[in-house]
Amino acid sequence: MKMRAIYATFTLLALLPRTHGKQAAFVDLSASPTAPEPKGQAVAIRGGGVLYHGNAPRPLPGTPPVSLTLRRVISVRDGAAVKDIVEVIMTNVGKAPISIPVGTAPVSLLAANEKNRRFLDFSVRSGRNGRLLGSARSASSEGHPESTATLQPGDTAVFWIPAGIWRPDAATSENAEAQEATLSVLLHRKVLENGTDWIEAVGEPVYSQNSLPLPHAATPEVVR
Amino acid sequence: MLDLAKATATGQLPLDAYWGTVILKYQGRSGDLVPIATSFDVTGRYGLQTPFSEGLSRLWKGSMWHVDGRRNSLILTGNGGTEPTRATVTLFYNKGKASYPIERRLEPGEQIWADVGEIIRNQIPDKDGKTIPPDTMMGSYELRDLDHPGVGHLYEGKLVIDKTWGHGYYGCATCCGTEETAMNPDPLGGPITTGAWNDFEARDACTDSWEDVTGEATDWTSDNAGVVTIARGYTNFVGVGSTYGSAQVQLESDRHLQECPVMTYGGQNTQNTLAMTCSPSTVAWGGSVSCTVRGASASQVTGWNFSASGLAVNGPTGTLTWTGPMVASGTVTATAAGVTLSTSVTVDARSAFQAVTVPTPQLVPSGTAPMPVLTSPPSGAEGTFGQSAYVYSFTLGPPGAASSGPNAGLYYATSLTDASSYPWELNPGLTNTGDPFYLHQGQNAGYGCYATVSQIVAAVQAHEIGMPGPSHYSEVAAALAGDNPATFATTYVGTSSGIQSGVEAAYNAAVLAGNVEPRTDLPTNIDYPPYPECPQ
Repeated sequence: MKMRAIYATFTLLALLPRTHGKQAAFVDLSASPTAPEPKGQAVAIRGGGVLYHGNAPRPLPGTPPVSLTLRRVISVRDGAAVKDIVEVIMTNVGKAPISIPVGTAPVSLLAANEKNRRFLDFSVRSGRNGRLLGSARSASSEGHPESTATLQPGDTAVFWIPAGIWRPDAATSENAEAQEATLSVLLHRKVLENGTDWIEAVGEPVYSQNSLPLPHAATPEVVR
Repeated sequence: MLDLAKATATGQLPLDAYWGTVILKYQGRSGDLVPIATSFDVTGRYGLQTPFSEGLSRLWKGSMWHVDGRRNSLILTGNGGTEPTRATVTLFYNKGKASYPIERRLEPGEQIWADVGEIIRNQIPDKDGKTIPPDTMMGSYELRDLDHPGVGHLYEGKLVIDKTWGHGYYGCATCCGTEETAMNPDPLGGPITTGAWNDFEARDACTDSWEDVTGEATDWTSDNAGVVTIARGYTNFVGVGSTYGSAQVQLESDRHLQECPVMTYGGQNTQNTLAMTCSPSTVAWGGSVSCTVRGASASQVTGWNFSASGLAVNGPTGTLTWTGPMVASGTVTATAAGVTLSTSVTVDARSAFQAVTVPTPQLVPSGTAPMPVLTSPPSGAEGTFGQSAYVYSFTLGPPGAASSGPNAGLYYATSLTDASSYPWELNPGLTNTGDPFYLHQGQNAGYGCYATVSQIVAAVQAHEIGMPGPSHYSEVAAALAGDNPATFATTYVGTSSGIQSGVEAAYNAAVLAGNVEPRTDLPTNIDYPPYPECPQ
């Protein structure tokens, strides 16, 4: 697993499009835990806020000034199935440096005893019907500086996000359904308040600028 | 003795017939006659002599041919059968690394003549446009009957002629027979009510390669017609169990010293009919399903899998059953004895969580979080008269997941509790009876030309929380009705983070919908500072 990440990083550096910035991080969330919370634990989530009027700031305050570009879909054999992974480039399109969570162990990084806990919640959806295909989160906390990456204006971070797992030989109508993948990311923080460990949405989701076809969900020739 | 010179002289053969083929037929055993073809020059000093080739074969492997300044080689194959066939003469050169095929359809009695010297000298291309390099001087060859992989129709002949010394010698090609046969796959297995093809293969004694002779095989037989039936090489899997299948084929044997006589070869393989069922095939949400493989041993089960759209679960190996609660419809697949067995399981819809609705709006003092403090007097913009907020808040119970069976490890929501709120506020200039703005409006100031506070408040209230709208509140309500968080929580199966992401996404969609500015109906005759009186 570690070797694959090293290899992928090297490849990505070579393939990166010309930008003014540098690639500041590569984060492989394709093997992210299926349960990012401690087992058996309820979660409390809150968000939203003032509904703005005609002069509503967009994006909503707190939204990271980033753009998302889907570069490719990587397929990895997982037993008899194929796991699709979306590779997304996050670029700081703002005028100031930003720090983003890049830790891949959300359970420990977001534990209640940690400080300044934040996470990016990535969602991959079907471009056709919006169905959720995969999700993952990168997390950070103050006590783990390695879990935060700083993006200068123009800098990029590359993330690998799971986009579903398919049986290429399965003749399911659903396989043909999810033809394209889109992606969004929403920043969160965790706040311990009166004994409740709240997850708070910050700002609004940022959506990818493009979509990509999912080969195993869509390609007719793999549907028997 | 057949004197060809005399036949030419008497006109029975054309004068320019320098080469030919003679076929002798007789009743008797092989070797009873030993015919020889001889040819002498006019002086009787130089002669050529070659024996007749007796056998027919599907494949002949020839010896060396030579082409150089003093030698040429002639290679022949002919159809000695009673029906047409496609034949190839393949010349190998460059130490066997390159080949030059000549393919032709031959009627009975027809031949392919290959004058190797002419082919090289005139750079005659083969069917792929390739020629033999001019400096090539030797090689080997092969004759193959393409249409009769079992018992071939081809006879062979070759002569190398020394043009300088008048010397010639023939080459003895070797027929290529069968060393052994096999019926494949072994075992052949398949799901009940399906079918599969058998292959009958023969190992060639010359090339050591296995060649498909299924089309030549006969007497296809099943040892137990209750398990499989076999016809023309195709097996129908009719009943769970194991048995043997067999067939026979007539092939040239590998006794090449006896010209590869035809012999009967047999073949046999194991045939397994398997089945896999999941019971019940339709199950209530959370109900248990037991899937079982029949017709194989536990050790032959090399994998269980469950798949649905975007989901896959890898199961155990070495067990005949896979049992557990189901929360997602999909396909269960077992691989046993090399056979893939699949069946679908349908899970009924679960009881839906209570739909999330937009909370009853609560008028709160200006500045109550998360809303901003509104100051009097309002500026004229809608947002300075009033604001509203949709603050979503929900709790997801500990996610559930089966610990065994086809849906093991697939997470689902166990509960969704909504505790959202919808506060709204008014500018103190509309609520504080002592506020100058309040005091200067219409009725309060005795200015009949200006709107009253009640009229302004009604307009602000309609904009923020009016139903059926359009208002910020109605926008949120409509978004929740169209994409309800509870619907996602009820139907989603996947990861724990997926439950949270999907439910939250529905809430966020409602927030964004509420941020669209609805129509404003604020009165146009509001009295703003410096609060002028009505015009006279």
